[in-house]
Amino acid sequence: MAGFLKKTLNLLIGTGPLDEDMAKHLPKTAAKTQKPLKRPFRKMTERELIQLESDIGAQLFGSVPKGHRREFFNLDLSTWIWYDEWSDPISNQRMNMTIRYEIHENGILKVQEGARYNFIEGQELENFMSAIHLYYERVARELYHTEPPRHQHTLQHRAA
Amino acid sequence: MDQTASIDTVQMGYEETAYTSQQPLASHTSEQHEPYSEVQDALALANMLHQLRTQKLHGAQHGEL
Repeated sequence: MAGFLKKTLNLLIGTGPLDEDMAKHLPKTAAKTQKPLKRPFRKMTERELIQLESDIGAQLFGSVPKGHRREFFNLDLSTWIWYDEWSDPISNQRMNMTIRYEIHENGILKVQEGARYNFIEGQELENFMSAIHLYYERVARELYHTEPPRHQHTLQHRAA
Repeated sequence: MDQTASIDTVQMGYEETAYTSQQPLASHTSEQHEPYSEVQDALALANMLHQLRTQKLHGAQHGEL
C-alpha cells in the first residue's frame, strides 16, 4: 500500500523521493521538473510515459482553467487517477483533489479523500467508460503512433 | 475549483446509436447484458495500454525513441 501511494504521489506531485529504479534513469533536471526532456535516443521511463499520457488525459474534459492543474491517467491495470489542483480564490491557498478509480471484479470503485468510496453507476459510470475509451484511443494515436483496434464500447454494445 | 469540469458532469461527445426499425429486434431480446461488462471493458483497455507502454519501453532500449 505504501508503495502504491508513493508511486501515485510521485506521479501527481513529483516532490516525493524518487524510486531508485526510476531515479537512475532520470537526469537531475528531469527529476526536478517532472517533464521529460526531449532528447532523442534516450531511454524513456514508465513514469515519463504515464506523464505524457496524462498530458493527453487532462485534455479530455475540456480546457483547464488558468491556475488549475489537472491529471488523468491510468496508473496500472486496475487503477485510474483523477487529480485536480487549484488556488482557492479567497484564501489563495493551493487546493487539490485526488480521486482513484479502482477496477474490481464487481464494479468500479471510486475512492476519494476522507475514506469516501462508492461503486460508480449510471451517468457517472458512462462518463468514466467514455473517458477511458477516449483516453486509450488518443494515447494510442498521439503518443504511441498506432491505430487502436476497434474495441466494442460497452455503451455502444448496449445501444446496438 | 471548476465545478463544471468534473468526470461526474462532463459530456464526452459520444453519441449512442439510435435504434431504428431496420435493426433486428433479436439483438435486443436475445442478448443479455453482462452485469459487469464495464469491468471487463476497463481491464481490456488497461491491458492494451500496458502493452503499448511495454512496447515503447522495449523499443527505447533499442534506440527507437
